[in-house]
Amino acid sequence: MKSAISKITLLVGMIFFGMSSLLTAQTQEYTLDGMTFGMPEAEVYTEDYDGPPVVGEYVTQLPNLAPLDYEGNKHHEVRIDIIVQEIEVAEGVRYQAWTFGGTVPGPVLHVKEGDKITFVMKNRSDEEVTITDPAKGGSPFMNQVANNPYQKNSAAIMPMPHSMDFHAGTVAKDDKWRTIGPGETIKFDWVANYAGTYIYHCGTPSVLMHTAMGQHGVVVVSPKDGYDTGYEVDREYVIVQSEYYLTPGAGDLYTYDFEAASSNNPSHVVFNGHQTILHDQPLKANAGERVRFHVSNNGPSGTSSFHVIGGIFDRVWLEGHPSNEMRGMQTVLLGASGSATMDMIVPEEGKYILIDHEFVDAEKGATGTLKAGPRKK
Amino acid sequence: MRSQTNRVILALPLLVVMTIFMPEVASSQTARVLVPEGSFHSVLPEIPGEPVPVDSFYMDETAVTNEEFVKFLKENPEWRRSEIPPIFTNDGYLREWRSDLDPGYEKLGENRPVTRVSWYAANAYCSDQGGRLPTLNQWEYSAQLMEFESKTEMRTFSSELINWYSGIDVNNLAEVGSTQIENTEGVKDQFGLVMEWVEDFKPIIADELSLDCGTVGRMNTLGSVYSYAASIRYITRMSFNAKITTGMVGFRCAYDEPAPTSQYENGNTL
Amino acid sequence: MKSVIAYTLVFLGIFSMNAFAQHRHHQHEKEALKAGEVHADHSLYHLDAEFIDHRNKVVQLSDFKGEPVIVVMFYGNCTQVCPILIQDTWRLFSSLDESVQAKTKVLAISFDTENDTPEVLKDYAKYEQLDLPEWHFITGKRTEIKMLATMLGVKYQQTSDGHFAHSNLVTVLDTEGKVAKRVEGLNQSMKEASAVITAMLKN
Repeated sequence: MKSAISKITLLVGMIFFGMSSLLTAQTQEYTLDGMTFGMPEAEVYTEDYDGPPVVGEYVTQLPNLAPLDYEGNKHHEVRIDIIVQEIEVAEGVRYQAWTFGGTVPGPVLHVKEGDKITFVMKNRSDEEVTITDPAKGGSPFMNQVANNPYQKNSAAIMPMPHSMDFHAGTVAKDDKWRTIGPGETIKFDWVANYAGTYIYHCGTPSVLMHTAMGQHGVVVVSPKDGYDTGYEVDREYVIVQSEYYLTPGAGDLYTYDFEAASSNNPSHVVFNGHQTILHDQPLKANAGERVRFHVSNNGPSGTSSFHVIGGIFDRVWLEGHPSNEMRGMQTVLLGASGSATMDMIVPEEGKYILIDHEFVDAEKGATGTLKAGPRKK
Repeated sequence: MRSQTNRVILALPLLVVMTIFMPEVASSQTARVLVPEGSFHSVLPEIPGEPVPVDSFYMDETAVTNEEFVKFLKENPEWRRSEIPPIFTNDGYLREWRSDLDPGYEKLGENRPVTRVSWYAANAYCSDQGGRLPTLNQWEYSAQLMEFESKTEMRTFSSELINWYSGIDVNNLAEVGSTQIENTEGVKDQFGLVMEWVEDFKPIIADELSLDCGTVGRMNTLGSVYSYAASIRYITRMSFNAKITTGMVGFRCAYDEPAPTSQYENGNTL
Repeated sequence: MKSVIAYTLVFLGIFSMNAFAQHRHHQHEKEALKAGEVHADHSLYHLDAEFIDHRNKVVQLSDFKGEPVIVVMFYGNCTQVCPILIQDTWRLFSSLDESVQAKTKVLAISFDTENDTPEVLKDYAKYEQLDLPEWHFITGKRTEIKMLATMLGVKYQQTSDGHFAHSNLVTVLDTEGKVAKRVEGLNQSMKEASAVITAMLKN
């Protein structure tokens, strides 16, 4: 009925067959040096979900860090949806931010070295999502933002494709970090193999534009055996430095300024997303206490020379990894997407200024206050 | 360096036509514009460095409006919001409309571009008009048929275009024909209004393209701000799938023939 | 794994000596396009379009309701890959029992709407010795073929030499027109697809 196929077609077929075998993805879980690699393939789907955009017990608003109240490792289920919010970044300066979870930077996720995270993210950039009402079933982040909406958030729409790149994860980016369109949801697993403070950000091009528009945050991965100090710290704070590139738009809102972004000339350089937040709401401590700062410079493009006026960092762990310990540092240089964990003894009652010692950045907003009360002990 | 940029301008005759006169009110049938054959520099060239040739074709002067789409839905009930099967769209199809055939013009406007339509619906609309969606290359080629008076003007225009891609106000879209941006042939609003579906919005190279921090740079073959803006548009468009509906994506149709003198002669032959 | 590599290289070598030189314009076909993802929950028979087969008969997808359908997309001027794809489809069809074959339809749909007229497809069917009653070689309006391809997850794009880069995909639709099985790549086993069709007719 059907003539034999030609040799050539057979050969071509063999080649295709061979190639497709070679391209089979590696998804088998394995361990190496006690770390876990090889996560299953990410799922992309659509779902009817209109619940809280941020879900997870250990997810908080900056500068807070959720205490890890469990022994050993835990499997976290975390949701951080992509939503668009009109936010204030400085007095009188508002723009439509592309966000993870509704704030810039996005929520802080706290996990322990070795924890597994099942992460879900819906691209809700095409729907109005209010984050300032207390939400049931959300994370501590949701309640903290409802109580303290310092960016004066209001819901907005700007549909765009987006993605999530957790620097704390070790996976194939073309799978887990893949871009999803408005209305789509992605779900994937990753394991926090390395301790430290890691940025997360949108990896959809222009990555410069997406991160400058607000899509970044941090994951703090605490070392499974803690930092080898022999003491407990009294307080922990998370501080994220980042830049905005904004220019007055046609209406009341500011818009993205491509020229400024491409020439490394930010309009604002800020801590925790707002030019004056760490002065309006100073970090608190008391004289004689040990304070731990998890500081990340989320960029997108600048560096930070992080210093506290009146203080010296007693111990510093570069990138937050317990093996990278330094002592007695006045200033810690953080490249774009670099971080450090810094312990400081608060010397006496009074004010201490957190500052990017690159003064051009400081004058654009990268300063904050640590207000110390009298010694309690 | 300077001579190179000058060459770029010559190869890419761009000009913002700042037409002062007010746009005419859209007539019941959208005008078709003949886009003559030529070539353009794609940020996704099949052969790097080579201009992409494009044959002449006809394209709608403006994007399809809410009113025009209502007309289509009246004649094609299977594409109404309550009828469209989920294989052709996600949940957001014509989400802001009051009902199947009533967009709620006081809020959405007769002459504003229809948005929140999936690629399938856009394709079906154009098919019904005896046309099709423009190919990616046709759309991009037409968009680049602009002339600028100076390099500075082109750069300013392109920078604003990038800023615009970061902040389209989907709840307050302007009417079609109102952006005062048009190409040398009279095709209007390819920039400044909405993004638009094209037939091959996810070109085959999309599979190979690694989307990361360097993608825009690698696509920036012309080394110009214009090509930077174009790459953002390409990437955004290729990140969609055919069922997605968003408030910033509309469409217009392309044709092999000029508009028929009577629309009833417009038979659908194979 | 190693043996697979060696195997591939050997054939690549033979290929480049024999055929490649004669078909240099087909170079881009080396890398087949990966098919897109589809959702199996929805029937393709929602596509209310009229197509034409190689017998010059108007056909609609919904005409095939109630029968298993094997769908493959190809183009006539494709001399290397498509014959294998068509051969794969034949392999699936011919693996079915005769009674099952009689109740199964095959749609070989061309995405070259410009060149593959019903007459050209008629010749193609004859040349491939597949002008069988169950087989329909189909063309249609460019827009509707594109829609169908998108629903199937078949990607194709014309290149400047007039050829197409495309996915290699054989799809089995159930009696409702929902995707029941997809076989991607060339020279794949058709066992499962065959079983899926046979099971459909038992119910």
